[in-house]
Amino acid sequence: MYSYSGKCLVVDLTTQSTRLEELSESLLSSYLGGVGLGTRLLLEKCPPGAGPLSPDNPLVFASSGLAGTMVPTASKHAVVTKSPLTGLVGDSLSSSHWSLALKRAGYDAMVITGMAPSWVYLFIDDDIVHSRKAEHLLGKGSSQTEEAIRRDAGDNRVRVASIGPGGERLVRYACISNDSSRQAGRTGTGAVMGSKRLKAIAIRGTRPISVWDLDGLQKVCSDLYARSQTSSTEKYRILGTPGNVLVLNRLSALPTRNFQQASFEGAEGISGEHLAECYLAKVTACATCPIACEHLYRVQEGPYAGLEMMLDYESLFALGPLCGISSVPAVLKAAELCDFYGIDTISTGGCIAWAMECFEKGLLTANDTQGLDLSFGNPDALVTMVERIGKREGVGDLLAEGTMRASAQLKGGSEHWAIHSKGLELPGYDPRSMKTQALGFAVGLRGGCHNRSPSYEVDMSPGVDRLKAEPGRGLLNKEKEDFAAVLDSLIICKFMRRCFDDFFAEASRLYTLATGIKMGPAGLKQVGERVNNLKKAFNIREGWTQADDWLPPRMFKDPIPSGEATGAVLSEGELRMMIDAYYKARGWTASGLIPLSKLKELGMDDVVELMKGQRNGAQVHPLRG
Amino acid sequence: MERKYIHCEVDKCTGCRICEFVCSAAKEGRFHQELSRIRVAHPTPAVVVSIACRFCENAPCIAACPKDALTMSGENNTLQLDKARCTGCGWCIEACDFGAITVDRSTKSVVMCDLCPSLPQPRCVETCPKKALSLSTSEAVAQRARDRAAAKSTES
Amino acid sequence: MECTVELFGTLRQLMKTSEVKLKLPPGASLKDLVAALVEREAGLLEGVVDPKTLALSVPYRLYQEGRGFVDDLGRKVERGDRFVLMSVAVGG
Repeated sequence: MYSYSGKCLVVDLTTQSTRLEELSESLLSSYLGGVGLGTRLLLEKCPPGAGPLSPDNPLVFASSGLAGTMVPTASKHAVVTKSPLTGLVGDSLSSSHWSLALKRAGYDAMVITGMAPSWVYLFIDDDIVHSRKAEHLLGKGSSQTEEAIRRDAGDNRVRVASIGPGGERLVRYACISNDSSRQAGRTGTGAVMGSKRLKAIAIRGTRPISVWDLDGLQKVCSDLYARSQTSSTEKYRILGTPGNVLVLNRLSALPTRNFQQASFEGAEGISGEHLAECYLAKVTACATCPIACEHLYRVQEGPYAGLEMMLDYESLFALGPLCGISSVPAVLKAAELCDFYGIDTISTGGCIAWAMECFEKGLLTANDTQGLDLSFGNPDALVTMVERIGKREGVGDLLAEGTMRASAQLKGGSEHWAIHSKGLELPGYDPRSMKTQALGFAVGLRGGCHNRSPSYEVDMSPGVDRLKAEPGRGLLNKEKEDFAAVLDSLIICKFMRRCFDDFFAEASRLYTLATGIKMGPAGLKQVGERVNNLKKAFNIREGWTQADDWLPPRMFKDPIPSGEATGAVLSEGELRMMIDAYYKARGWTASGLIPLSKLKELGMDDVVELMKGQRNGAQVHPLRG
Repeated sequence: MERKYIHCEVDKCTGCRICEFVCSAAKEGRFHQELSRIRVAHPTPAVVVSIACRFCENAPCIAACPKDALTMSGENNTLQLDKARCTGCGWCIEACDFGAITVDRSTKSVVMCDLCPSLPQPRCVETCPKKALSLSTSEAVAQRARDRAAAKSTES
Repeated sequence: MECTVELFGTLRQLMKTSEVKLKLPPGASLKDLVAALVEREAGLLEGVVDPKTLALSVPYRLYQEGRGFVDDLGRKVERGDRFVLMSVAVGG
């Protein structure tokens, strides 16, 4: 095999032992790597009904056939596990040097099971795995943990993925950070790592990577590099994703004050344009990325003078307009704290915004918030609340559970404005004024997500009425999801997608040039459908029901009050209609289950066997049982 | 002939390390960043630049080599290694202020940039997506700096 | 007749404003509108507008207030129409 090693490292923290498992070419060519391979390993190694924070829940890291080569943006890895936030599949992507180290240490995947008897960090030195005491690292943020480990190793080839204090305290949306500024952000993979008493995974990977056709690969990649410097990526390179703020604001799709509004009067002050003009210090890139979308901002004056922080749109929206905050330094500070504690910025912002609305409505009072004025727009409240969540202190302990559990606990009608789908807080696209994305959020396999179900693209296409719901959106959402799943398994960054003229033809060729494995455009396209059905199969086994494919009451009861999409709202009938059309487009039953014939069509006979681990036919809802 | 070397424009470098991939591929036939003759240094988030051998006028590595295995010669006036003499002791690496020399365990000697003599232009210069790399003389680098300083002095 | 085009992102730097008011002849189409923008700022021809067809290059889109995203260059412009020229939101 070229590029792939065909090896999966399995680490059992309970017994402090490791072993290697073979990954066949057939498995690798069916699931490629990343989210696909990771989910396949999860389905196999996670006992049905396992508690997400129990030692049984495996934490899977998956590399790819392209990582370690010059393929642009291919230095990525996926983290896949059973999510403590949703109880369903939790998959998250990260990138850069740690991703390279994993591949170059000689592993296509790594599975961590069990729980260490005391806090440890792993040091994987190519083929030798050490387990080291980690007590001295507890309480450190991810960056500090990384610095400490690299300093002890005395070798900057050592790369570190770690959790912060938030992961140590099992904040349900804790993330796993690497290379100081990258995160596997969503669905709480960091909490799973924390539940295993695993503080960090350090890797020194020094093996060279050989490809099947080096000359061929170089030619194709050089051309892709050139294409990555054109208008197809301009937004990422110049303003970065923060350029979304004013665009979505103009369209009434910028969720503001916990989705009470869809445009923000303070938008110009926290826009990408303003950030680029007044705060931009440097633009950097992940390893092997020719685009370079990492915008590092620097605060020059005020209480946070000297702060340097990277920011992307989702973090900006969640800590900014969603909480009514119009101060750039406060948003940067809050983001820095999210990185320190190692918690997902989107879920953190979503939880704080929920709490701000509870405070506004008197459900939470100054008594509950230890005297903090938790009003929308209060920058001190924002910054303080991030810390309290990271420490699980005071009302932060409630918020650390996520809006779904927090509102179930607080009650008082707060479920109405707990803005999540399946427990995953919604990202920065208002579903009332982007109805294809609304469908995407509702049926999303890891919960409310714009990344796995990138259907805002449909809503922003000419000829599509984003304020209207139509059955045709079902198929369009499926196609967007399948395309995303291919990118997430190859793994190639979504920001490259517009650089391809004929994606499946070009990408399948890239795959073959790197790995030597025959792959045609149709075969590659089918991987996407296979991976999404795989994720669905896992969800069904773990207790998904149709009621989970839905959106919060606000989306049906509270129309957008102002702006370009004034009056926009979803009706239950509309969403039902689109969901039904989506199930149909997927070839699923009317209740969203997968017929055996569909699994067989996708060559997933082995998955059928793995589904049989279900507990006696009874579907215990993971969020209630 | 004026000394030319690979110069990296600090303001343009993003730390992508694509130079390391293509150099190692050109020299080793596979992707092996540690054997790239050009290496990226990224000590803090905002500071990143790539460095290759600068073919110093008064090279400390040449002075340091106990076996006199290093010379500045060849048609491009680059650092040349007499492999037969080299023991892989690494004294040249300790003498070098730039970390531009690397031990190659497979040949039991050392490697450094040779400006890709068999190619029309150095691979890294050709491939850098941000055009941060160029084959420059020190004079050209100084000229660019003077021009920038002059332009800045007329900004109000 | 007059119509307005709002600008976002790097277009603001390029055209040195966040809003452009254009005077177009009656019966003008979107193609005429784009041509008028290009006449104001030739830099648009580099990456934003295709020089031959005047179609917008990916990922630039024209949004018409009250209507939605439009790409039919033959569509007629009415007096007082308001447009937004933007680079489409992606990822992040």
